[in-house]
Amino acid sequence: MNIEGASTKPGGQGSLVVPDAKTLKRKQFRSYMMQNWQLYVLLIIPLAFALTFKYAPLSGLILAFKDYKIARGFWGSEWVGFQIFEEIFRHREFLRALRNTLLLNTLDLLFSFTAPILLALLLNEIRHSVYKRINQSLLYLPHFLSWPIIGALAYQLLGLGNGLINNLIEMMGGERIPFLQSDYHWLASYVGIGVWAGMGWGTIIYLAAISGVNPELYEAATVDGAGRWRRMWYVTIPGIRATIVTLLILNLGRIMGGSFEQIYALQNKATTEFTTTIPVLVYRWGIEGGNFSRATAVGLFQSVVGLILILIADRIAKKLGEDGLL
Amino acid sequence: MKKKLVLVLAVFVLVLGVLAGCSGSNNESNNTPANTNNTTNTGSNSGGNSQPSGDGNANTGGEVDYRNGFPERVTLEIPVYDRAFEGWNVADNYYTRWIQQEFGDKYNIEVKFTPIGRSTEVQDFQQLLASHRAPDIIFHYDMPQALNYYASEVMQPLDVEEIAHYAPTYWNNMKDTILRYGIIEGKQMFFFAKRPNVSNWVSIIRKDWVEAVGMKVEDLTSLEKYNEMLEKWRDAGLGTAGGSLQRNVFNYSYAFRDWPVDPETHAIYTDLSVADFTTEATEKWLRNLNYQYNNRLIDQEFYLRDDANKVKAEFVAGRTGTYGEYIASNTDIFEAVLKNNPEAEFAVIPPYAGIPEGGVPQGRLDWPFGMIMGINYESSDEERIAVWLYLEWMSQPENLFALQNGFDGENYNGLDENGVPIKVADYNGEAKLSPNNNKDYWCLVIEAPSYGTEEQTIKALKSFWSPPGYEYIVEDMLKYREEVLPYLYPDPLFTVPIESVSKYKADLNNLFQELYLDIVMSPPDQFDAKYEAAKKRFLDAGYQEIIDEKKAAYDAGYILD
Amino acid sequence: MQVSGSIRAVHHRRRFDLWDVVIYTSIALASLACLLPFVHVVAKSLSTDAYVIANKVFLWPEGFTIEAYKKIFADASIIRSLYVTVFITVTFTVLGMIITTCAAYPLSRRNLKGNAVLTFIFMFTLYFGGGIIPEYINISNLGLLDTVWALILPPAFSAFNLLIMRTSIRSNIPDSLEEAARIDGAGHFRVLLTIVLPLSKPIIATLSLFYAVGRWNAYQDALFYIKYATELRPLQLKLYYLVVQASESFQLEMTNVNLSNPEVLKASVVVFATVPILLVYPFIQKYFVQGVLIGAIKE
Repeated sequence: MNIEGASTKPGGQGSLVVPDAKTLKRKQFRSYMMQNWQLYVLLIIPLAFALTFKYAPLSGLILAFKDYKIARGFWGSEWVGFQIFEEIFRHREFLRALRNTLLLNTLDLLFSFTAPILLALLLNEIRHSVYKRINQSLLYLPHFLSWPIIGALAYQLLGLGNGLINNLIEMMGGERIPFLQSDYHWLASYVGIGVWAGMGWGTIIYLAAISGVNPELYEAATVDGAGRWRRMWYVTIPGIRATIVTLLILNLGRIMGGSFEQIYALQNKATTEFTTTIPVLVYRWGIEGGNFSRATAVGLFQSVVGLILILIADRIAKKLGEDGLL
Repeated sequence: MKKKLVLVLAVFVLVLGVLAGCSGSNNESNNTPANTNNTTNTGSNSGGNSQPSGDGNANTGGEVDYRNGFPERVTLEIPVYDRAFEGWNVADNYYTRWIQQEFGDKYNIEVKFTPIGRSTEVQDFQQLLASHRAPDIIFHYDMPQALNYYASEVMQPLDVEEIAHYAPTYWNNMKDTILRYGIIEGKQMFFFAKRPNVSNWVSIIRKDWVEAVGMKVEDLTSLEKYNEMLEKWRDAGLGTAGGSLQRNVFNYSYAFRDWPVDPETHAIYTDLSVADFTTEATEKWLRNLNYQYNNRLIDQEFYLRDDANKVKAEFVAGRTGTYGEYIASNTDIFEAVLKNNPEAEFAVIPPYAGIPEGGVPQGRLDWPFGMIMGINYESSDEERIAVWLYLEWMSQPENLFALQNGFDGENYNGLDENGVPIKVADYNGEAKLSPNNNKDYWCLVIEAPSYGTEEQTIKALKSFWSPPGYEYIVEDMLKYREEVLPYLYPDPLFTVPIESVSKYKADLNNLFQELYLDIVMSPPDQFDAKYEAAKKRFLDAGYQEIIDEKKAAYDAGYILD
Repeated sequence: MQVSGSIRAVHHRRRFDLWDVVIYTSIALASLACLLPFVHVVAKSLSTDAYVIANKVFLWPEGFTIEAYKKIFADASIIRSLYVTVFITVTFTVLGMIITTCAAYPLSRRNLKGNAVLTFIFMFTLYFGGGIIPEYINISNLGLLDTVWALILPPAFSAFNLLIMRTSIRSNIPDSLEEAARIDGAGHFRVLLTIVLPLSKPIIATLSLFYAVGRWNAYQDALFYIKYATELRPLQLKLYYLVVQASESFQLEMTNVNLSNPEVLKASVVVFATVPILLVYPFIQKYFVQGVLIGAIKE
């Protein structure tokens, strides 16, 4: 029925009240709101917090375009447009920092992201609950060590001159290995230590996701003759796929970021090829140099790149049939 | 999907804009009333030059004289380092109350203390200043950072007549220093605390190692002899000299400079915050380090020792034979070394041991000031005057003595023959001093306690510095300092801020470390090529700009002589 | 319609095969790799300064002493700070979970109008921040400085946790359940309380743990926001100060500066601050049991 304009045929059979498009929309909206207003009420709380505590300080981003002098405040400081960005991009260290950031974060994604998943899958295979629980608790311990401590430990163990491991190697007749004191070795150690530090804690979210998988699916699979690995591949992994995708996309947004603390703890001044990254520059310029405008500008750059990447990744995920973020 | 995205972004930008607008105006309207009273300090102010002037801002007793107090209560906010000592609240304790009672109440001033974290002090000040809650005094120990505060326009110019009027004792003590060092770009911006000419930095060596290779500590009369000894140490399998990463403080090249010093060279190249990487002195220093490193005379992983504790660890473990620290009577270094190396004996390294043959032990002399201070640009006239009254009060010997030592009959019982209080052991009464003896309060007028004449002060400090059984260490340290004193001189001080220094120093520091380590740890035949290339890189990274700016300032006479 | 109570899945008894051995062993090795460094820290915390400085301590204390722990417990303010921290952590966790749930549930409804916009608004906060100075000004303007609320309110909103929970609700709670409830006349509040929350126990447990541990370990915000109200300093901040203080070199300082070796103190600080939270985990673990959904689905 497609009668334009409201028309109600007076009386009688066969008459149908068909509203026009606009009224239809309004009616649909009304009925939608009546059914779902509670959802919006629920959303008020998180929105209030987000606006008050996360959005309010964002006005500080303007400093990326200003020559910030504290006494003049945000608005009184002189506007310099993209000058600060130009300075940053032209800076001799920037390109190397950019390369290192991408390199380290990509390696991080490859190893530190996947390790907890594998570990969670393996833990899931353990049937003795006591054994499982004890191991889980132990695996979390590195999360509670701060990076300065881990750094000190790393050098105690892996140091070239006096490290425990190197002492053992030498005792067994081998040659000492500069785990942290030669560029490519450092890279490998950095990634390895990163995996070690995060793998236990990272399993928590995946284990929680795994526990949400319907056990009947496992039963069905077993009945169909699937062995352990097939069950993992066809039941478990698809069951947690949404979580993996979500986390992957979120982590992609951090591709320009990364942990300053982790680098700071593991770096030394003689092995500098891979140790300057964008977060390091932010620290150096912002905190050591007191140049708040520059630090804000770099931060803004990181954020924008991250956001773009997330939007792209989200698109791709949707194309592949996943839920995506937005 | 595209439409959604556009919608999303549009809503977002709108929200952001609204919020930005809101918080922006919030900032502006947060200015304290004091700000509007003050004439701004961007050049156009009346009372801000060093010539005597009784006009405008300054209050020299013309109209109203506050020397006996204020008619209306004035709030004075004083910054104080918060080192988070257990059981000590820096903003409220016996001594803050005593200050309020003895000083505040007499002048109708409410004295408040603003805690400033020692390790986060610049950020703390920045945050306080940005939210208009900063104290009336802005301070820092280092001149470069003080100049940064100046460049951030957070300080107001001062009238020395006013200081002289309200704080005659303080002025008398400090006027030379204030007039000499506190004028930037023609304006009096800073005032200072006094730093007595004492130092407790000591360089220690393992005497038993020296003697084990058949030498005596007195034999170490030149760098060459010192290196010889290190070779003997290496051959005997004893260990190496201690080493550490050069960072943040660049005073390594003094030992390798020519004497007498050329003023222009010194002015342009000596800088505590930027290494003088391209000078000959640095080249000599690098060659020596390269030699020491390649011949395994120095800690082979010296670049990993980037803080005092790591250097200490090597010495305590008995792997290195030299070590330096600021000595105090409760230092644990000797005990720790003995626990791990029971046969250890200690001596002070003679000053010529680090100097190449024919040179003299040049070194950096501290400036005669400790704390560098400025007045908050938002402080009112009354608040500023209250600062002068406070400094005056604290400069009175009896008040200073009480702050530094406590009270007779409580913290100490009488004075000994040197005028030093005889401390009550483990005093735990109400009037207990802070764990660093209230230093963070009286550091506004002086850096170290004084007990009358310089001699008496040294005597007293000796007792504070000497660990039991190691008094000879301190004796030697003081003796050597006397010897080298003629060759110590302070850093150059420009009367204009050198912008390129604050711009590049963070990056140049990092570059310096990368370059010098590469050079030092390479085989000797690569030294020349690497050093040439490194010099060029260093200059390109901003050092050339710094040199040019400093030369221009020097030629224009913007330097203290 | 109520979800029928959870029935524990029946585990078959399988033969213990080679793969089991491999898996059990690799997990054990991984755990060992995680445990040993911690044992090393504990050993350091119980050793004498001099040996720790010389790096002579490995897995067993040298020169056994509980001096550092005595120092920690001697400070009454540390015990008080423990209480403050527990209060902050618990309040923070509860508040955080409420906020997260209030955002995750609506966003998990695919038919929510404005879903993408809202998700974007929330997600944006993950990547864009103003910096420490604007954040400080904001907290100052809100009058929260030197109160516990400065440590509870600002970080309570976490877009990360919210998105995780949304994903979890979408994947683990079939739409059919919600639809059935709605057909029966239940409003969204009811659905949330009676269906979604009970079925989300694992994710709630997980995120609570994240919130709690995150708040417990962090001290950087307290470093700037708690200045005058020293009795409100959380545990990690106090312990950070203890260590920082002990590392300072006091130039021209005199006696009475109570130096205590930072290495041993640092180690005992780590142990002291970690043990409480480690004790919490076993209680959370039981929520990770599989099979909560059995019987609820009628396919």
